Amino acid sequence: MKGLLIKDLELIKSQKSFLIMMVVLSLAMLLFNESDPTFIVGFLPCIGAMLSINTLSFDQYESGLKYLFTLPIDRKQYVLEKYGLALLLIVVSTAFATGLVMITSLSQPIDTHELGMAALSVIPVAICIMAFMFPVQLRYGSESGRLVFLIVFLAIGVLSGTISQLFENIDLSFFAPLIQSYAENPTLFLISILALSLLVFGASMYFSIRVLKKKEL
Amino acid sequence: MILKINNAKKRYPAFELDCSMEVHPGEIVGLIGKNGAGKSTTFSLTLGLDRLDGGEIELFGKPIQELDDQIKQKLGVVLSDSTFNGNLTIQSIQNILKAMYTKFQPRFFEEKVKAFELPRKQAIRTFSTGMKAKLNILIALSHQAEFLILDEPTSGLDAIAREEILDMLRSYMEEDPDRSILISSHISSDLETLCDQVFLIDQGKMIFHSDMDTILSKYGILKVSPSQFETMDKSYLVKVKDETFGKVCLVNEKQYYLENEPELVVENANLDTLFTMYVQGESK
Repeated sequence: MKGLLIKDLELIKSQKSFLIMMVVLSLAMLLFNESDPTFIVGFLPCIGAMLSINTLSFDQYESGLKYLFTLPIDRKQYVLEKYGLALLLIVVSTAFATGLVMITSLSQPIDTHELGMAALSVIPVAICIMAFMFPVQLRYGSESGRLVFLIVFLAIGVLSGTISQLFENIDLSFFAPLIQSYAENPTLFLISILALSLLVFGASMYFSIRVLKKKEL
Repeated sequence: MILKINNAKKRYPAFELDCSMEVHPGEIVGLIGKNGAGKSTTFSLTLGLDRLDGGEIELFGKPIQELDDQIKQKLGVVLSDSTFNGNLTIQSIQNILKAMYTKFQPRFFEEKVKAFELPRKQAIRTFSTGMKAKLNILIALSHQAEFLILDEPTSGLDAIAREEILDMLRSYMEEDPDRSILISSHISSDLETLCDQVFLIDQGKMIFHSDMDTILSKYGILKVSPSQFETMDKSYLVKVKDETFGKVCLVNEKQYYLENEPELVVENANLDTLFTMYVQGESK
């Protein structure tokens, strides 16, 4: 797995122009957009998640996966490494974004608690992006995977009206105590969302291993 | 036995592979066939990249379904249509190989990179076909693999570059007599001077198998007129092909014809002519 991680870090390094552009863009957003400095705390972790999915695109390009599996790795290790890399990139990019905001906000006061909550709340979102996108791209490839996403999001958009009507007719009073405790204790809500996203992440990883084990290269 | 393929089957809509083959320690086995014959499919099945639809394959005595990291440590592989991502550099690849292979030889790798004048810090997508082919072979040779599986390693190369790669393979075999190579090519002449045994594959089936010594010493080509064909001894006739002048005959005892039918012109067979006769000729 160490070799796979080195490979992916080398591939990410090869995109240094893109990475530098993201950092410059983030700095520009911080320096010239004073209304919401925490925007990049939501932006960069999602980029981190996308970077790990990009390494899959690189591997799939020109049947590269075929060659990779002639090396001394197996399919389960491959998936575990990708998901581990995603977590690493999400945490690192969140920490980096938070640090950037704190450094650029030295001249003006910022609510560090709010910043911390924003940083922690975006991690589950980035994790879920990875959890949904990775198995789709693994199964369908980069091109078809994008089409699948488009169809899924369109379907969600079309069905959202129906779904919200459905919820209006459901008696949610059973959940009232839970909703109340979340409203009083946002940290508890955050921890619950993080735990749920990690469950989704784990399920996605299990599903990806199954997809890859069946895949003919 | 290093590799045993026993009636391995793979079905596609327009093609079915059904082949058997063995590779023993110390052997160089060649697999020859035209494009689309099934060479790459055979390799994919051998490496566990595709699933068998029938039959068995064993690599180092283990069924291919149980192919694990330990066995892959012993393999050096070149695929015809797949390699490391082009954004990587030789420096990156060296770091990756060092982390993956317990027996990776960094000094050997660096020496060969220098000898081949390959740029270490340039993305490999910028390399020429020859440079990529040399790098692919070098990667396969750099970790003391016991068994090389090479799918068209010299494809697209000029004669000098091909000979350089074949020399590397000869040196590799000289270092350890128990090493083995399975190599495929549609350039028969490459394999003639390298292989101990040759299998011919056409439309997914093995149509011929022999050792190189027998092919070169026993097999011959007779070019005969229709009248000569009528009267000649056909005991050792393997394949016949019609030509404008008469017939071309593949025989498996050319010495017999040299001694007993001196009026017939007997030429030495090579892998190219053998392959042509087996694919295009008819049985007697």
